[in-house]
Amino acid sequence: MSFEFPFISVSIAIPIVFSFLILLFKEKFAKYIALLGTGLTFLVSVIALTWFDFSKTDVVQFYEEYTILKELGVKLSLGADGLSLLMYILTTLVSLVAVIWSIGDEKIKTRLKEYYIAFLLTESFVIGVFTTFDLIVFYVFYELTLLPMLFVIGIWGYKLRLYSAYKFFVYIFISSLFLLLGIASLSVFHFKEKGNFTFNYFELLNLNIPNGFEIFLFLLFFIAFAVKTPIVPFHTWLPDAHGEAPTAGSVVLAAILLKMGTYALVRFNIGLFPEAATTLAPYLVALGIYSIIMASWMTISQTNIKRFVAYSSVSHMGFVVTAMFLLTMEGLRASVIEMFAHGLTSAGLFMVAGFVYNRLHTFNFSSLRGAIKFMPLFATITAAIAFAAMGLPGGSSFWGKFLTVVAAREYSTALALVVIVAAFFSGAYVLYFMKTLYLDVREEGILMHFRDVNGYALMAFLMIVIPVILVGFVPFIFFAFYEGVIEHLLKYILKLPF
Amino acid sequence: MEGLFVILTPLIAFLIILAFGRKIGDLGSGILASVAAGLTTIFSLVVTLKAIHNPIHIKLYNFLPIDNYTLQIGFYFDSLSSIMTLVVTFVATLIFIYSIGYMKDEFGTWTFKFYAYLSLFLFAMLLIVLSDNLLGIFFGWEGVGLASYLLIGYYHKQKKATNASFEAFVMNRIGDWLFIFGIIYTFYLFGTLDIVDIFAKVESVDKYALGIATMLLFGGAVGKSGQFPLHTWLPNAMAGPTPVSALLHAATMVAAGVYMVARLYPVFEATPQTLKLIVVIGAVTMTMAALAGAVHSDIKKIIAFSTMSQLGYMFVALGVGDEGGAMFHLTTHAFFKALLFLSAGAVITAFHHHLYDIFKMGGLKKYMPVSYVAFMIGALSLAGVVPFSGFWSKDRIIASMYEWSGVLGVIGTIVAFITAYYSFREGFLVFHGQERWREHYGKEVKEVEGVMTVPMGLLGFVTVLSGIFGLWLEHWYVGVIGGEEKGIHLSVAVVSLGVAVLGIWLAYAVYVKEVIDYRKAYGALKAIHTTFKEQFFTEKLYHNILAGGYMQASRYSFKFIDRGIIDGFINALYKNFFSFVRFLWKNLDIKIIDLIIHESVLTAFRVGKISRQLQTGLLNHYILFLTIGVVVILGIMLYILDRL
Repeated sequence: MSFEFPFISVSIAIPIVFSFLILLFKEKFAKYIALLGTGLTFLVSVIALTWFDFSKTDVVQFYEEYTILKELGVKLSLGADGLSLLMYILTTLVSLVAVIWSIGDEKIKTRLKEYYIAFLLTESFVIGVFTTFDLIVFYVFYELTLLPMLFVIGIWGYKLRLYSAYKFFVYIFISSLFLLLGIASLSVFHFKEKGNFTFNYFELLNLNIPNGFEIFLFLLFFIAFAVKTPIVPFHTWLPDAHGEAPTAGSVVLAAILLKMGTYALVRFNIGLFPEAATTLAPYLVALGIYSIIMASWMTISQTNIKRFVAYSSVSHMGFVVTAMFLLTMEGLRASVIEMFAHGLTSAGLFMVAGFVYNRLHTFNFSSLRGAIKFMPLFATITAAIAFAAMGLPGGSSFWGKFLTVVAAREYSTALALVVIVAAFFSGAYVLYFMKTLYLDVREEGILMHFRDVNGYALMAFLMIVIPVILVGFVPFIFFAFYEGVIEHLLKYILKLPF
Repeated sequence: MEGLFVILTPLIAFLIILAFGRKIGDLGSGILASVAAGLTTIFSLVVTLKAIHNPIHIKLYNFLPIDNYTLQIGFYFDSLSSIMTLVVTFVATLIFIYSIGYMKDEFGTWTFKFYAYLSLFLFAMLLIVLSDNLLGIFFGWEGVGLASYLLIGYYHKQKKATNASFEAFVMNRIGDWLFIFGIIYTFYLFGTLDIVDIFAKVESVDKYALGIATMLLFGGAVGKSGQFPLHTWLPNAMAGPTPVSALLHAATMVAAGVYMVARLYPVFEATPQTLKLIVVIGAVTMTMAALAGAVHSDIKKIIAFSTMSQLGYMFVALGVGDEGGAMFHLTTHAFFKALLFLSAGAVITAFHHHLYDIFKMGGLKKYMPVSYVAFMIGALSLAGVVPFSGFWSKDRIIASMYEWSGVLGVIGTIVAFITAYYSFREGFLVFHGQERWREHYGKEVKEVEGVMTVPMGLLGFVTVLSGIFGLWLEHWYVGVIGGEEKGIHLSVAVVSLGVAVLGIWLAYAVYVKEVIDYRKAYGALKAIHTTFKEQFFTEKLYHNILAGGYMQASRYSFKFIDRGIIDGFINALYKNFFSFVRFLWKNLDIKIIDLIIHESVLTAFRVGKISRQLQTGLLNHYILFLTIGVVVILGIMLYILDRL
């Protein structure tokens, strides 16, 4: 192709432009402008998908570069390889779902302009995070995503919103200072070795970092991303943030903001510091498994349904981390498909929670008992999402868990058994969830008058359920996105025998 | 092509009912599900006739590349799978028809869901039976688990039912994870998931590793077939509607475990240690379940325990190397067990779901003659009385047990005796004797309607017919699926027939003639009675200690680790930071700096009066400071790096 359409920068720009439009028009148009904006971005991402050359997914395509600071070598370099592309599609899809959901959400009545602007900006920044190949730009986008989310939680959240918003902000802000330190150190090291400053990912790849220093840098990056992911014991901000955020906020937070952590772990921690990753891998796998088991334990005793889903996110992220640091083809494959799958199912489960709240005005588990069975369509959707999250075959999370066991088996049978035990625990809470919401006895007769899911909410649900089932039944389509990337990673960067 | 229709018809029925169930209505959905099941039966009959001598292999599409191997979705019809398909679909069709009558009381409350789940259940079971690769089997395996979860908890107004479905799924998940691990293990041994390829390579792999793989696979079967130690869900699953119990116990779900082992028998055969484990598990289960069945009083739970016990027989048969016997017993059992459940369901329907305790029934035979006859045919077959179908299959298994070891054979004979006793204990208490139900149930009872009696009659007919021609049938069946040919052992046959008759006679003496007062006897033997009834307290152990302990651990770990330690640390940090800052503010800012500033401001004023010209903007200062800061940080970094 002689002419390359700048898909990435356009899809970063569209939400920003539309948020200006929201400012210009009246408040009642805000939601439609936001819908148009996210819809257009989604459309651009789908068109980008058709233009993407799937035969070489490990090559960065749609590459653009604009110099920002010549002296320090900071360039706005944007582009997408297969991994970025998958995350980019997930972002545009989930943002669209979040906006569609918000239109139908009864909770969102005040300050609509700011609300939708926050979501549009988040989308734009997150796309930036997933598609940039310059560390400083990455850091800037990574930090910027905090702000709109902080306001979403702090303004439209539930009772404890201020505490949660600050906890969220402080946790992530402090942890990303480590990231800044890491980026600066890496760049300075590059200056010392090669004589010029650069933050470009590809140039930094070629460094030969001494072992001790590499582990130090790895840990600096890791702390930031571990808090974001989150990995136990850095996870306590998540249940609070999720518990108090409005539904669409939780959806975006769980589905795409957490993925920034795991994406960055694959891209930067493994990509830039392969030796350190190999050295530390056993500990990180242990941490991941610990994360799964602890979070699954905590999940089952939660009394607030949103916290419940939040803790379950932590355990899913544990799977992502465990699989990732097994550092095998199957492991990385499992890790990325689980990221994508969790993005969908957690979004779905938070919408389930939000939907139930809109009907019953409570998040308390025990007062939700048997609530959804009076809404057959909703019950079906919930069952589909919940069982997919549990890892039932035919649902999206199955492949992640299955391939994690496959990868663990390559190391040792004992490890695979541990993973299986963890997987069992992480299934148990979903069954408990379904039992409480769906099967338990509900005496109050008045609650028989539930309205079933319809309108915007139904549309949002379908946009989640359809991909969930697609991942379950035709996983090879999604593997095709990033097969090349992880193969490249394993062959040339980790230099593992194939 | 018929092969695909066999699989797809129930799936299509499921999707149609799910999407349009509200429009079609409950009765319409029931009829649709039954018609779909009937069509499946016809298709599978056609396929069976073709496939019984020449296996048919259908490959659909590439599914998943793993490690140089590409998994293809496909189905494999050989004699074993196609006969199993025929049995499953035939029994399922009759049960579906019966369920239209059984669920009639429930019509108007979204009953179409029930038929959707039934169709899903059938589809998942066919997936297990017909898949040509282990992952396909696993898909069906989980699908069956899901469908049974939905069906067992169908009466979601009862706490009992919802707990039972929860328990069933959890227990199944344990087995399932073992199973999936077994599949992965097998995959690493063979490099393929295709069962036909696996059979071809059995000789070439490491026997020790294969042993582990088969044990894991068997773990899945233990969960699905309700064998010890994952057995407690099976009797509790009786809380679901009776057609579900019949379906669960006759041909789908619990039979899946036995079928899976039989399907992969060439692999299991190569690992004698696993076969020994199978024998032990099977023998323990069959004894424990028979003892529990002999003391229980719930009309359905007794039959559930009998299923558990008969599955134990099948596993023992697989373990001792009599694959043909196991599959033959599975087939005959499917018919007479369905029959027993359907007639129990008829009794429950007659009482409109008010009575379940057999001690509160009695004397029903003159009110419900068809159900009575059906039950008795089923019970005679279960007890192993000639010439009913159960006799031939069970006798064959007991003979195989004697061949393997004398002790095992004796256990088999004793369990056969208990089986005869408990099945007739139930039959006599329900259908004979005084009409005790009049104290508990105000209305009259009458025979159930045609839509329920006809399936019972058909099943009874098949049971009797297959019994009469049992010897030839066994010969043909075992020959077709490639089992070992065995003649009838006259001595074993006579002994097992003898103990069966003895068991029936004992039940007759105690519960009809009442030679001893059984109520007093229960009082006297309370300890042993409870032990048997609670299946040696395994259920209590699982529910209270394991599950309860897990919940407690969860609560405490949340409270102490998350809330206590981590959040406590964060909050303390936060609080201490503030008090530290306040301290700084009070002492440093106010006392020292402010003083200095104050003084300097005063001085500045004095100086300022002199030098008004030296003004600067605030912004410039900031930029200056920022630049200095960056330079300092970069300088420090450079210095550190120089030192490395």
